[in-house]
Amino acid sequence: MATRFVFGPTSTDLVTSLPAYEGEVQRRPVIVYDEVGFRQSVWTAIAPSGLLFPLTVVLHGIMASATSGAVALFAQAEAITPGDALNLLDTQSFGAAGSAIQNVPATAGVEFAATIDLGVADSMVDGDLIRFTISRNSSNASDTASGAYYLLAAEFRDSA
Amino acid sequence: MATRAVLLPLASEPPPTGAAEVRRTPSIGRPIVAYDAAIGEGARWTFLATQGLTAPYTLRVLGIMASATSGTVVLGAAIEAVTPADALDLDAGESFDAVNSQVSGAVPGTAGYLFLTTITLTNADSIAAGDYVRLEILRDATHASDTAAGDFYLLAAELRDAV
Repeated sequence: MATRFVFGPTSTDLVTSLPAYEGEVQRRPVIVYDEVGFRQSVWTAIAPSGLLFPLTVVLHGIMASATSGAVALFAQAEAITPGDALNLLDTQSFGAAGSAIQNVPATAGVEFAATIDLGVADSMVDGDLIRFTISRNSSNASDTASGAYYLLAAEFRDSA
Repeated sequence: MATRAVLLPLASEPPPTGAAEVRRTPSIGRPIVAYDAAIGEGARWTFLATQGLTAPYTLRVLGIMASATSGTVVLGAAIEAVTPADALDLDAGESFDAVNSQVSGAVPGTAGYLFLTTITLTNADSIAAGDYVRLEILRDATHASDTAAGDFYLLAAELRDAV
C-alpha cells in the first residue's frame, strides 16, 4: 500500500453546493460535517504515474459529541483525461461512490478511522485531472451518531 | 517521469502586475485561474524543489476554454529558483529566468472540454533540490499565435522531471 495523496481541511475546493465547512478544534483545522443531511467536500489533484488499483481512502476524524452510533461516509472520484468529451463548465462526472458505515468511539474527540474502497476510482490514469469528494449523509438510515463529524485528514492509498 | 509539483488555482499567488483572476466556473464551481484574451496575464506558485529533482523538466498545463471553439492559446512558464545564500535580496527583487513559451494545439471544438498543453522548461533557472522556487504560468494573449477568443481557464498544472 502506497500513500498517493493526503488531503487536509485547508486544501479543499470549498464547494458551494451542500458544503461541509471549515472549522477549528483545539487549533486543529477540521471539516465539519454536521447532522442536517448531505454534506460534501472536494479536493482537486493530478493522477500520478504508477497508480495500482484498487484505491482506498482512509478518513481520520472525531465526533464532536456522539459516543455511540455510526456515521455514513462516502467517497467518489472524478478522472478526466485531456480530450474527453466532457464540458467541464457545466458538467461533473464522478464515478461510483464507495461507502463506509463506521461505528464511533465511546468518547467524543477520540480519533477513529474509516476506510472506503474506491475501486478503480473512475478509471483514472496517469496525468488525469482528478477530484475526490468526501461526504457524510446523516439522513442515511445507518447514520445513527448524533452531532457533527469532524474530518481531520484523508489519505488515499493505492495497491503499489 | 515523476510528478514533482501539482499547482492548483486556490494555491496560486498574484504577480505584482497583470494578475490572472482566481475564481470558479459558474455552474459547477471548479476553481480556476482565468486568463484574459485581451492582455497578457499570469499566476504564480511557490514551492521547494524536491530531493532527487532531475532535468529535463516539463510542465503539463490542464485547462479549458470559456467560449472558444477554435484557435490556439500561447502559454508560458517562468521559473525563479533561489538557493540559500544567493546574492539576491528577496525583499526587493526577483530573478525569473526567461519565459518558456508554447503554442497550444488547437483548442477543442467544444468549449469546456479539457485539453493539455505541455511546456518544456528549457529555461529552468538552474533549479536544484532544496531551492526556494516560484513558477509563473502566463498567457501571452497578444502573441500573434494566440488566436482563441475568450478566457483560458487553468484547472491544474503538473511539474514533471526526468526520473
